[in-house]
Amino acid sequence: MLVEELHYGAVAVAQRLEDLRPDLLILVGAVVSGRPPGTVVRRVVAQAPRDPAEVQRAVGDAVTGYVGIDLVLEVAAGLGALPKQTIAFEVEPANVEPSETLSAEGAAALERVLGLVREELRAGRDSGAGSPDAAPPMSRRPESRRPTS
Amino acid sequence: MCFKNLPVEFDETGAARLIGGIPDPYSVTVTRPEVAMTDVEREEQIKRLSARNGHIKDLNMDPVTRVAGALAINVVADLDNGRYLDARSQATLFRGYEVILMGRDPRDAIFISSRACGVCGGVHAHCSAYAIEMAMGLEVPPLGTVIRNMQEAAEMGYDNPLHLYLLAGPDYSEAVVRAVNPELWPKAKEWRCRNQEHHGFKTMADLMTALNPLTGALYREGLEFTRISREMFVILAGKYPHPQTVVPGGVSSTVSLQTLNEYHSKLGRIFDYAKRMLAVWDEIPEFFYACDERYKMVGARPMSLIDTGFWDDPHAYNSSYADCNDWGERRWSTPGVVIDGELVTTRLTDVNIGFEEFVEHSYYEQWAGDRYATDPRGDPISPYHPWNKQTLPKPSEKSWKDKYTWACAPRWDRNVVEAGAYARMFMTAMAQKQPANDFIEATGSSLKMNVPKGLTPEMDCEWHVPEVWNAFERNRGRAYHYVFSQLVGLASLLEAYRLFKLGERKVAAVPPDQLDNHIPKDERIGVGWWGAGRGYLAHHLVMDHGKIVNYQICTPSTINASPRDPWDQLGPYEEAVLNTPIIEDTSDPAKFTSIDMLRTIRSFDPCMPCTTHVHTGHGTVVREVNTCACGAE
Repeated sequence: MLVEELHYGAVAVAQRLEDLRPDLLILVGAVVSGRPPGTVVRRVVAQAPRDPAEVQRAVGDAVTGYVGIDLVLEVAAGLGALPKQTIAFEVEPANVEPSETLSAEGAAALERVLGLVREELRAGRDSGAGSPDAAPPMSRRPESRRPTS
Repeated sequence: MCFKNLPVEFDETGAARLIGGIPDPYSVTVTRPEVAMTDVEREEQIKRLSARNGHIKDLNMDPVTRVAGALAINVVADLDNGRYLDARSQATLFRGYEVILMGRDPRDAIFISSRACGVCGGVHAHCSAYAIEMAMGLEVPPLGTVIRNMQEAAEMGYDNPLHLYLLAGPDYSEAVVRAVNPELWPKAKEWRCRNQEHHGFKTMADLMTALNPLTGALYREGLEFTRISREMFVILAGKYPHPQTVVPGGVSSTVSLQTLNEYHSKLGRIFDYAKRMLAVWDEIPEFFYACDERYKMVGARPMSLIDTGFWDDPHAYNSSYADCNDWGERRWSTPGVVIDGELVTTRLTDVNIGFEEFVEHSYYEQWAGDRYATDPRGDPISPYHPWNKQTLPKPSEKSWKDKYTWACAPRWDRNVVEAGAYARMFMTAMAQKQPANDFIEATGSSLKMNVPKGLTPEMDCEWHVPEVWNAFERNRGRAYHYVFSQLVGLASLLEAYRLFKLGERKVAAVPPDQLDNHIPKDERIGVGWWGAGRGYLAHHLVMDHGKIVNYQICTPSTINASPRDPWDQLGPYEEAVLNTPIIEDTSDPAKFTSIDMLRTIRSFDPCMPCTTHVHTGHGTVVREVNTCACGAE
C-alpha cells in the first residue's frame, strides 16, 4: 500500500499511475457539489469509454496545472492509466479560502474518510484484490456516487 | 538613448534623469505614443462596414480552448473580405496573489506565488527569492546559482514541449487540418518532408497524423518528455511544481555527485528529442507558407519584444540592484527590449524604469500617489511603475469602451511589447553578450547552437531572426528555445561538476534556519527578474518592518493578454488577431471556426488559468481552483 499526496497535476498523476500500476486506486479530495459541508461521497468509477475530444480538453486543462478528482480520472482513463478498481471519496468543503487548517467539518470528514479507506483496503485484501479473477464487480452505472454515513 | 516616449534622458555616466521643464512628465496626455487608429475611429469603421455588408460576424471565443479557461477573445470578423475588424482580449477571472501576500513574511512569497501557476511554480518561487535576496542583500554562492540554472533549464524542458505538442500542436494535426483546412490535406500528402532524416516523417500528412491528440506519435512523445524534464527538476528541488527548496540567497537542496549524475543521465536523453523537435517545427512553417503566402500574416505583429534575461552567470550575479546591469548582461539569455526589430537596450535598469502598468480598461481602481520617484540608483520611475502600483480590484460590468478584463496593460516606454520564450532568442542573438561557452554562439542576427550527440550524431543548428513575426515563427522560436535552454542546462551541469571538483558545496548564502536573523526591519525594495516558459517574469517587492507592504507580479501572459492602454493601443493578442487574415473557407458562415485566430492566440502559449480567483463581493478573495497563474491580475 502506498499513500501519496497528488497535488502535482493530473497528467503527472496519470504518469505516476502508469509507473505504479496499482490494483486498487483510492482517491480522496474535496469536491464542491452543493451538499452540506462535511458530506462524504463514495464514488465507484467505471471504465467507461471516453470521448477523445473530451480527454484532449482535459489534458489541456491538466497540463497547465489543474488538478482535481474528476480531472485525474478523465486524464488517467484517457491515457489508459486508470486501474480497473478505482474509488473516490469526495468531501464537501465548508469553505475554499486559503487557510493553514481544515474547517471543523472538513477535519471531521477527513477522519471518517480515513476509516472508510481502511474498510476499502480490508475489503480488497479479503477479496484478494490484485488477482484479476477475484476483482469485485464494478458498478453497473457508469459512475455511482453515494453519500456515506 | 533607448526612450522615445518617456521623458527620460541619460547623462554621460549612463545615469537616467527626467528631461527638465515638463510639469507632469508621466501624465498620459503629455508623453504619448503615436497611434494608427483610435477606438472611436475603429468603431465607426465597423459601423460603416456593417451597414453595407451582411457578413460582419461578432464572435466570442470563451474560453479559447486548450488554454484552460480564463481567457476569452471577442472578435468582429468580416467574412466577405477575410479579415478581423476588432479584437478584445479578456482575462475573465481575478488572481489575488498580490492581495494575499500583503502583510506577510516576505519568505512566504516564495511558496504562495509559486501556487500562482501549475506549470511555472518553480519560476515564480525563484523570482520571489530573487526579489527578497535583493531586498535583504544576500549574495548567492556560485553553486547555488548553478543549481538554480539547472532547475530552471529543466522547467523550460517541461514547458516547451508541453506547449508545442499538447496545446499548439493539435492545431496543425491531421484531425484539425482535415476538418478546418481540407484544401491543405491533399497538399500535405504530396509534401515530401525536407527534414525526414531528423524527424522520420516522409510526408507532411504523416507528420500531421503524428500530431493528432492522444494517439499521435509526436503527441505521446511530447507527453513523455515533459515527464523526463519534470523528473530532472524533482531530482534537484524535491518536488514539482511547487518546490520547497528555493530560499532567499540560493537553494536548500542537498546536492551530491549522484544528484548531478542522475540529472545528466536524463538530460542526455533530451538532445536526440530536441533535434527531432527542431526538424518538425522547421518543417511546419515552410509547408504552410508554400501552400498560401497569407499564412505569413497569421498572428503577425511588429517585432517588439521584452525580456528580463534568464539564467545567471554564477560568478557575476550578486543580487545587487546597483550592479544589475553588469550581472544582467552576463546572463545566459541577455535581458533587453526590441522595438520594431531593433535592440534598444540590454540594461536591466532600462527594462525596469521604462516599465509601466495601466488599468484604464481593467477591473481595477487607479491607485493614488506614488511611493517612489526613483529606483535605488536614483533613476526616475513612473507613478505607474510596479514599485508604485497597488492592486485594487473593482469588479464591474464589462464595457468595451471602459473596462473589460482582469489583465492590466503593461507597456515599456509606452510601446506595446510582447513576451515569450522566443524573446530570449532575439535579445541573445542580437546583443552578442553571452558568456564564453562551447555550445551557443550569437552572431548579431542569429543564434548558432551545437547539439551534442546522443544516439544520433551531434548537430549544428541556427535560429535566425525571422523576416516576419507571426504565429508560425513563435512556434519555431519556441522549439529553438527548447534546445537553447537544455544547452544552458548542460553548460550549468558541467560548471557544477567543476565546482564540485574544487570542493565547493555551499548552495545558499545563509542556512535557512538562520534567515530570521537577516530579515531587515527598515523599508527595503527588491525585484526578481526571471523567466517563465512564456517569457518575461518580474516580481516587485516592497517590505517594511519585516513584512510585505507591496508585491506586484507581472507575468508574460499579463503582458500578452493586455487590453487597450490609455492611448487605444491594442494589446499583443488583440494586435496579432487584427493582423490575421481569415484563410479558412467561410462560404458557410455557420461552420466558421476562426482557426486562424485560434492559431494566432495559441502561438503565444497563453497561460491564463493562473487567474482563477474570484471576488465574492464581500471583500474577500476566494480561491476557486489551483492552477497556472500567468495571466491576469
